[in-house]
Amino acid sequence: MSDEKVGLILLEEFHRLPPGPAGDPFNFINEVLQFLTRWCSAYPASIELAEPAYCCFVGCERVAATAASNLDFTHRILFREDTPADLLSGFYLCSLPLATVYGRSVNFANLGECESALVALGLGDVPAVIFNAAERRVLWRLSDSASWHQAVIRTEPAPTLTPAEFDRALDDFHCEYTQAPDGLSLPWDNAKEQLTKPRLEGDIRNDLFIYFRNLMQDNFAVFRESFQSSGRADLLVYFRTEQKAFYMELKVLREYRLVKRKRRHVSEKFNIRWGSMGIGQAYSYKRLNRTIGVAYVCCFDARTSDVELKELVDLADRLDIEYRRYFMYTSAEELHKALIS
Amino acid sequence: MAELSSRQILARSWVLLAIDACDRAGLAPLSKIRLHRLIFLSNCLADLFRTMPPSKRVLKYKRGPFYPDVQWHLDRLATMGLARIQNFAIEQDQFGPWMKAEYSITQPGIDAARKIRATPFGYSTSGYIDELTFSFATLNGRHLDQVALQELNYSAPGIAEGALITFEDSNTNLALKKTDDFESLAPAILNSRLREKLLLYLKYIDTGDVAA
Repeated sequence: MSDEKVGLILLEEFHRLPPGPAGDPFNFINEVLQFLTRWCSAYPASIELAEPAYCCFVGCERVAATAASNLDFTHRILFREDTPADLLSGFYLCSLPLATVYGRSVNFANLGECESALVALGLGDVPAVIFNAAERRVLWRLSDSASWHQAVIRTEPAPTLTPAEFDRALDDFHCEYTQAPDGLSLPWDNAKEQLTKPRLEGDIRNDLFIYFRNLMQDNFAVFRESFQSSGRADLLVYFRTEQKAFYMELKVLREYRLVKRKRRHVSEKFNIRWGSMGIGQAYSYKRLNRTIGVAYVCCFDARTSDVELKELVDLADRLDIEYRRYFMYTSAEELHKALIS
Repeated sequence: MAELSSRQILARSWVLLAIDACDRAGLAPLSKIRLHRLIFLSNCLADLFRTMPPSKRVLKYKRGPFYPDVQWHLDRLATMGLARIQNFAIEQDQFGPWMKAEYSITQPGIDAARKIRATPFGYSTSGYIDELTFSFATLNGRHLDQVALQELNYSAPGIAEGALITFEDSNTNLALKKTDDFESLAPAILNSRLREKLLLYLKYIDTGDVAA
């Protein structure tokens, strides 16, 4: 038998569950973003130009040993729990669950200085978060070799999202993150050459996860890389009250890609096959969860022309899959032209 | 040197993997009390992950859950140079004399843990211990040591100090029953999500007031 407290814990914690297994660097990013959201809510005042605005967090696999070899860092007891007022101008070495934090004071004048300090520390492949409190903007990366991602900290919950408005949320995400080259996902490596970031699907999955979390809703939970017996859905969004699950498969359709450092054209046939695979995967998740599941395939379209691929539409229609295509413009001008045409 | 039974080797490996996980989760060095409490929590939910804990019985000791066998392994690990003891002191508290100590892992310990993880036993056990320890580390640091005392099996009415708590029958394990309750309220999604159930249970007991 369930009790009232089980319901209460589900209400409070369900939408905040860590996105990955123990030790996953993405859990660290998620923890820091949750911490910064609390911090921004606790200290809403704006930052004056002359005041310090930056701080930097580094996730360490063995933070005690890392701090012991960097003696100018001091242990900040109950840092996460205290939401400290003196957060800014700090450089923090953190355990991945943010349970233990060591800090030192550094007055960063800009993002470049934060990045330089990270390099100077010489920790190698570690997750990191840079926070600009003036703009409430966050730059984060999963490792040294991964690209930087952006997010903007929200301090108020967005209007309640229901399953019926799921499409609107996806449109909003595209608008904010992937539609234009300067979107928060920064999707292009070289927009003129029409080359996207090489691991754009994974990047979009992580950004979409953070986007849903950032809406600050307790009526749904978002899970990353949800394992099913037939594979691994990129994202799973579960609406608790409605008991409705949205399985999401994300694909990128490309015009060009880099093969051995050479720009190669990607055929339409390949894009159709790639998109069809996504539809097939989504169909397998849906079949396993017929009573509660809706399956989405979201194709982020980095081709030259904003033209629908009829084969994908027909296949999705036949398998009763929600197929969506989001066109990514290579310049703001092109986007504006398309919007007014 | 006396030979260890396979059961003792598994138990000692479990303790080493727990110290290693604590180091990676930022909980090291950790006090003897916290270590025994963490081992106790690992006992409660081991069946959920189908792992075999070092001991399925624990004494409800006046200072909280305590495993004499685990202490024995812990001290042997320190003697072997795989764990480090620091801030050792014999103190008097309200319960009488007590040997305080803090434990952390050494570099040879880290290497040994890595080798253990490469075995089938080590892989499945460390997967569980890591999930438990990292979830434990996300709880409020102000009352981290209280969590085990509020655990449902430990704080159940009728379990007096000095009593033996056993986990031999999973049907009587209140922790497992509670994780089922979470599944009954969010059925579709929690079906095969062990780590989520584990964390929700820890959050459940962390909020206290469960014995009532």
